[in-house]
Amino acid sequence: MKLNWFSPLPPAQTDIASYTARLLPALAARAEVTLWTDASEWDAELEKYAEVRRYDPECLAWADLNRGDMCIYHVGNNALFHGAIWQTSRRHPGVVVLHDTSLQHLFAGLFLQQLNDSARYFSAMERYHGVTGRVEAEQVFNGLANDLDYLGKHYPLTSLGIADALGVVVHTEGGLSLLKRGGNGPPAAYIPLPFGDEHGRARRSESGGASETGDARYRLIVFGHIGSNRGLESVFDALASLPARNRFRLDVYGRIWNENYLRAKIYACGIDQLVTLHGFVPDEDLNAALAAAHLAINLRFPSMGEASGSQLRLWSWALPSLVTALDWYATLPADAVAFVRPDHDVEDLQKHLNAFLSDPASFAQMGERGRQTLEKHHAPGKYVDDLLEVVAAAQRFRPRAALYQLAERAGECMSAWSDSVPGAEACARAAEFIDSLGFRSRLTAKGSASRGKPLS
Amino acid sequence: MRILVATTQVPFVGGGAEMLALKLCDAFRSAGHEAETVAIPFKWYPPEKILDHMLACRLLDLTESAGTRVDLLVGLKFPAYLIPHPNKVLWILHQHRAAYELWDHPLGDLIHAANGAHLRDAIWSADRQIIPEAKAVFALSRNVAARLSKFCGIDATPLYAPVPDADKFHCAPAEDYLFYPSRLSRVKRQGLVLEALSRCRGGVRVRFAGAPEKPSYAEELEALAERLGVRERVQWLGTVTEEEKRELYAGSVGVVFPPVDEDYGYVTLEAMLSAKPVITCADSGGPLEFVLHEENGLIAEPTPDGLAAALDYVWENRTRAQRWGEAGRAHHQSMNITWPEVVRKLLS
Repeated sequence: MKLNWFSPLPPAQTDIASYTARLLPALAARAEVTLWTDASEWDAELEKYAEVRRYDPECLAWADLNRGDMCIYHVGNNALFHGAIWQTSRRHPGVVVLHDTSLQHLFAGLFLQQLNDSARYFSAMERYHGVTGRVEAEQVFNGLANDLDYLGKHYPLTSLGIADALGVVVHTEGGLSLLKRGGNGPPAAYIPLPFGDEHGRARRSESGGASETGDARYRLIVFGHIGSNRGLESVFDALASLPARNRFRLDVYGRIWNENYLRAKIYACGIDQLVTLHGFVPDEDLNAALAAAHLAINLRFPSMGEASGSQLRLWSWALPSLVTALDWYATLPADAVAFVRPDHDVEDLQKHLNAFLSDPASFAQMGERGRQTLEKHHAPGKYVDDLLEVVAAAQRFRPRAALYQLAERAGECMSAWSDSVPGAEACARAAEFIDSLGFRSRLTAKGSASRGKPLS
Repeated sequence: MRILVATTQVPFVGGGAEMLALKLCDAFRSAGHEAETVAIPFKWYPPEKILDHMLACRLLDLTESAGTRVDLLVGLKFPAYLIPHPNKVLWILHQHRAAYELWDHPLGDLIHAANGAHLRDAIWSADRQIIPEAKAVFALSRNVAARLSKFCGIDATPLYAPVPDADKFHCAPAEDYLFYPSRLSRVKRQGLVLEALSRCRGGVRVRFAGAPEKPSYAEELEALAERLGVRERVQWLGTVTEEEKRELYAGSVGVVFPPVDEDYGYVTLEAMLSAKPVITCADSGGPLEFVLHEENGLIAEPTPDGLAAALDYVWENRTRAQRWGEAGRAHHQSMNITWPEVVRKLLS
């Protein structure tokens, strides 16, 4: 099996790059992998497992892709990392791994900033979200209404992200249910996000887990890309009014969306002695911090629906964690995390912090159960097995995908014959017509993956 | 019976396949049937057009004509052989080669298309599903049958096509040239012949007959001949009449025919009918079903040196070349490749 793998690669500062690096050993054991990147540098360690090739989406050696069995495209919500990948996926369809189900930021960034093609962006909004979607987008970009996060929630452009895909993989059950399903689409599957336990368990067991600091204080940790949805303001508020607040120290690692604002908030809450903003640090430093931490806070409000690589990393260190009771996080085992309700976040945070102080051992057990969950459901080898099943189903789907594209051309042709037949209707009828010729019944039987259902 | 022979034609490009369709109709008529050809125009670029043409063929209704039933449809070429008919017999001249044996080949074009794999798989799928609709499947050669078996798992019976006007071919005393009749095309490898000529010991001369597939390719070949220093030893005759072609066969020392994996190759049989030895290559496909090494021709390695050695040998051993030519003519006669035999098998 020859796979062409389009993904951000380390040192790109996205967890999807880390995901590829983590998965690569298991993947390379089962398939011949070529990693494709539009970045100018990558971690040389990757080349132990796969050839790395640079590409320009406007000038690709298609024969090299055609010689492979399947292209795997990793699509997330950041045009910087995923714009070129998505563009390539439209020209040479393959299996799309959706790391985010809301892709509004990807397409706004790609069309409006990278390609300077607002007409295409607004046209896509209308095609996938109707006139209302187009009008709301125009209002946002004319500064008249709401913001991009609002558009992302209500008009996610998910369908554009997987347009023409031969197969779709999502990392959340919610993501799978969001995809519009029917009988004629590509195979789709929910596969839990993989995460190896290669270092965390060993180090934690060696050290016996983090111990309370010498001055009887516990270390709280928040890490990752610290955007406005990470709930830090609520954490600060919770700490500020917690009677036992001096028993905690909070370390924040990762790029911060508005550092000045957060520092002002910290001072305003009077917790500047408790909170340290470390910014982005090397992996080794972050690992050391995770090993030393007692409790993690991993909030998302709003959530983009994605599975959290950060959460899996916390579990790999057997760290107990407080998570938002929303989307993917709400599906996590109740004995492996503690939930924070979005509309009662300060109250719940304080409740959990007090509970931690009362019984830190039970929280340590929670972290251990998280690690067991990781081992059971997120092993890279199992992920690769499931992914290769989707690839096989996508290979079987490929002839039919070509026929539906043919149906679109036929529909466009027919729509010109009469001004009373809209193009989309003509395309749909042409697709039905092709089905009636017998292609569908012969191909559908093998056209779905073992997990999930076909998309329409 | 009312019989339609369905084939494909690239407008303004004619060749052996078009002639075969016409001669097959003649043969049906000679056997007392009513027969006509239906030629579907074909354009394979941009690659999506291939599927458009396939669909167009599937939409055709050739079960009746002007209220009268068409009793039999004989499909010859892709995608015309996809045309539906309740009583269909296929005599497959070739599939869409860029999706099969020429997929990952220097001569293949489909693999370089962004959606090449999609289209290849769609073509494979259609062939696998629709070819078996036919009551019987014949292939122009063992080579074509082997491809059908290898790529599609479909068994086909090889059925050789007679050379049109076979009785008009004759042999004359050899003049000082080898003959290579074929359209000028990369798949026919005239360039390899030029490379070989540049490495020949003696003064081997070759006359090429045939129109270029693209005008630019003819210019490319002439430039190559100039660069290799063999311009004086080659002649580009362009399109010749059938009668001129037969005379060129008759007066040659032997015939050079080293294409890439040829489906069949009338040239081989025409050379044999003219009692001329055939020099072909080990990867030339169809000709290998007829050329017996050092019995009625030579099978060379497909390299400039390999082919040069074979050209030199025939050029320098005229008596043996003549004997091999006569052996080729006898071999052809022994195979009973006739139109009545073709008609009998297609209708059986």
